[in-house]
Amino acid sequence: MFHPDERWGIFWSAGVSWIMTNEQFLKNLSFINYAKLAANYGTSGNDRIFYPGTGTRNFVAYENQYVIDENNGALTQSLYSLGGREITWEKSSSFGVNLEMRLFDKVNLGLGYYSRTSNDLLFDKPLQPSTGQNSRPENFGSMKNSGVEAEIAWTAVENEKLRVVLNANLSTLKNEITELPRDSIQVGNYRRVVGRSAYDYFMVESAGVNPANGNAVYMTTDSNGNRVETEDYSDAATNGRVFLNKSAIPDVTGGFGANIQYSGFDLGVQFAYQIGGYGLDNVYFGLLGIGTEVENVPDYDKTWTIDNPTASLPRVDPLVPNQYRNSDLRLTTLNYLSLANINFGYTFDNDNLDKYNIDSIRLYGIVNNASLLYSARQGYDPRLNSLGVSSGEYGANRTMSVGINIKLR
Amino acid sequence: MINIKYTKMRLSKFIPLLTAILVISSCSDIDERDFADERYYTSSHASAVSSVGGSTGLVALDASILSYLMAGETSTDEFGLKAVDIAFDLRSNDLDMSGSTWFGGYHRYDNVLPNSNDTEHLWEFFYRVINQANGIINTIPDDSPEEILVYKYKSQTYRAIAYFYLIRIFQHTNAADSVEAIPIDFGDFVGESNSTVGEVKQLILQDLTQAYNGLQGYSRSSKEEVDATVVAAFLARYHLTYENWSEAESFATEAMSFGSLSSDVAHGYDEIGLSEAIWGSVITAQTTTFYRSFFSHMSQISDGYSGWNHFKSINSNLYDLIPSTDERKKWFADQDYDPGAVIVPGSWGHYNFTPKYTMLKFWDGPTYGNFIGDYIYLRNAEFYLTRAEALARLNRDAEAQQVLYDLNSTRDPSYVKSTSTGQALIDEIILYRRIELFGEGVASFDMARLGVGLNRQDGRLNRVQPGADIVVPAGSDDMIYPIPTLEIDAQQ
Repeated sequence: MFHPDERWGIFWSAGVSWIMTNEQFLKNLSFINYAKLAANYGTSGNDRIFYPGTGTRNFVAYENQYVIDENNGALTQSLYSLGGREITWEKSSSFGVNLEMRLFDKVNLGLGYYSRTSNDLLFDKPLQPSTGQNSRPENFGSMKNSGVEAEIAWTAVENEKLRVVLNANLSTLKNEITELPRDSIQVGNYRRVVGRSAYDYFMVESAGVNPANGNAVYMTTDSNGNRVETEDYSDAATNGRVFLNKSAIPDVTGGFGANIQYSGFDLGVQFAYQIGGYGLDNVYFGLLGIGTEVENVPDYDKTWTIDNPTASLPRVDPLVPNQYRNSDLRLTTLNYLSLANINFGYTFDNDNLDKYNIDSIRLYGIVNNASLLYSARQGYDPRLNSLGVSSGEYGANRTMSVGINIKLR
Repeated sequence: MINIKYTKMRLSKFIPLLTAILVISSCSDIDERDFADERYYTSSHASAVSSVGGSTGLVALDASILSYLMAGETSTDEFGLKAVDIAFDLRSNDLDMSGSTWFGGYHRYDNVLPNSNDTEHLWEFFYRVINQANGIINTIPDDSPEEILVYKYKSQTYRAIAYFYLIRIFQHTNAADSVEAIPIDFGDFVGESNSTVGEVKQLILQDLTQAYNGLQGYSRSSKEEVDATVVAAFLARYHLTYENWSEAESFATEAMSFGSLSSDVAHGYDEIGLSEAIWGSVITAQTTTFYRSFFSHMSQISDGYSGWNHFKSINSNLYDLIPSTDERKKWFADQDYDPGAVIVPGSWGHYNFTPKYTMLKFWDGPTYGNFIGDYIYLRNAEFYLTRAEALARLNRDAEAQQVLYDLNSTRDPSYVKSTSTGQALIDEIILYRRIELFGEGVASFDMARLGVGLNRQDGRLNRVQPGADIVVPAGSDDMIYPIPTLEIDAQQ
């Protein structure tokens, strides 16, 4: 919500579609059963802004907010968060074009392109903490999201006894900051600058392990601007952070699957996948960083020891905290493949059931979140956090259910 | 600020207070509003509080600063001023910790990073105090009535205290005045670039001087409040730090004259009613922060972190320098004790064992595990030592010997007035500073002003945490904290 003087915004949308197969010039192409081209353009507004670092919506971000409490009988009042009196709608304009087709009586195809430009982004702009507050809500900068979406369903086999339908889909997302009233804004490990995505990592770069003693080595920038190695993490964190050309946004996400019916049996399996992008696996590297009882960590044998001087990971050392500090060593690919769900069943469709006024009976079983078939390492599930930041939590529950459907006449 | 989500605010606690305000007020819309039904407290509420009239609004803002100095932020090692005291004593040569727990990063010097939580906390905590103080200072015109101006002077004191900590935490104490240091904030939420050491010191001195003069006629209602004596104590600390000996001597004289020395040094230092306490904060069953508190972390006797195998102990080399007839030697375990032993008379046994050299100076009664001991921020004994040192630096050795005697004779009946002079006398005074003020947040700032480095490889016999047996030379960059990345990234 905004200040009463800023609450009004005008948003509109329009769409047009064209069923091309109604046109004479396509009627001759008999393999095209159906084709529709649709385009839409619209604007919308966003008024959602959160208290910094939380998922709690700030409904009065236009006003300063206070904690009013008591201390040992005295009324106390202190500033909790700064308001932005001028904040107003974050405005987005979306353009999309979509082609839907059915070909050869067997294939359903969908192709789309979208582009969404957001202006006056609602944003908790970082302030210097020396002002007493860490951020203030503002409308700040512009961003563009664009990508393609494609899906296909192919009826591979269809006869009296057997029907097989295969499907696949994918979508891409490109995020780009197109305008920013400051050179850069650092938000955690991401740095926002014009021309890059909102989730481009800007952080300390690891330079591996010193083979002589197993010390972690980091990259820093010396006073002449040259990139040099250092074992002083403080130096790297102060002078050495860089864009790593890695982003938390995956290149492609999608899924594929199959539905098979044979006689009274039916089976459906659906897979999901993601390609590209990096997340921070803080949990895994945190374990190595603790340095005690680390022999229990499966990858302990990948860390430097006297006997393993060419190891890829630094020496585990409870007395030296700089060994596993936050750096791009923690960046882990977001690639994954999962068996998202399975359902199977058998349908009794027998005339003998008619006398009980039953049309059919289906016995079925469903498994949701069946299995994470591939991820970068065991225990790292990129699906749990939208930016791939690991945390010490359980993975998505696998649920299994069985049921019976009775269809009455 | 205790991090209270708006939806979880302890409404019930202040409704009676607001009701009390309503009864005495008739001139605002405050009486038409039921705060309890509103989820957020915004500018309109704030102005409702301040428009009640008189100093109600200022009192609430002032009390909030005192509350923040006492309770700090939410993390277990971020409970305000006393947490900073512990953190910096654990960076000194004198206080050790046997295992890794909260404050471990300070103790091992491994949080000296631009992006560590502790660096960010130190920065944000003191700048929040400054911001709150500026919020009061900027709204009080100089021609306001005396009872309003008092709040301006108090806030100038809070602001000066905060800058005094910041300038010594984020820059070397002996840095030249022209060296770039930290930003000076004006309370307008506009980021500033760094000022120099000299500019920050000038602001501290100006604030303290104005507060000292302005509060001359002010009589406080409790030791929780700031008055001219409290300001004099900080002026004494300031001038001692920056080696203005005669000013240090005169302000220390005023601060040490408050209350009286007590020979009961085994009390636990948990009551601001003690005759030695100048300024502090009352902790009650309602305001305690439980395990996130001074006594939890510093007391072997109260059942908190210290007793759980993270024993806080004295450097045995310092222990050995305490005369055996000195009551202060009883602040530390003289041997290993089995579980259940009552080591300090009037206290109780701890279920864990207590190794030799464990600190027993602080404990809060009447029962353990409640953490309702008051916090003492300033104690008059410190200013005996400040005055003695300043006198010795001014070559007034006889007077210095007498002041030191006045203090030590209340601790040690066998204490013989020192006959040392010159540097030997100064060294003796510094030794007694380390003993008397053990655990009270002075030690590492003394190291900085005296140019002493850290050396935990000095053959000490008390338990030292693995990884903490380090040597850091005086003047090393690890002796101060770097300005946080958060601040630098937002400086545009």
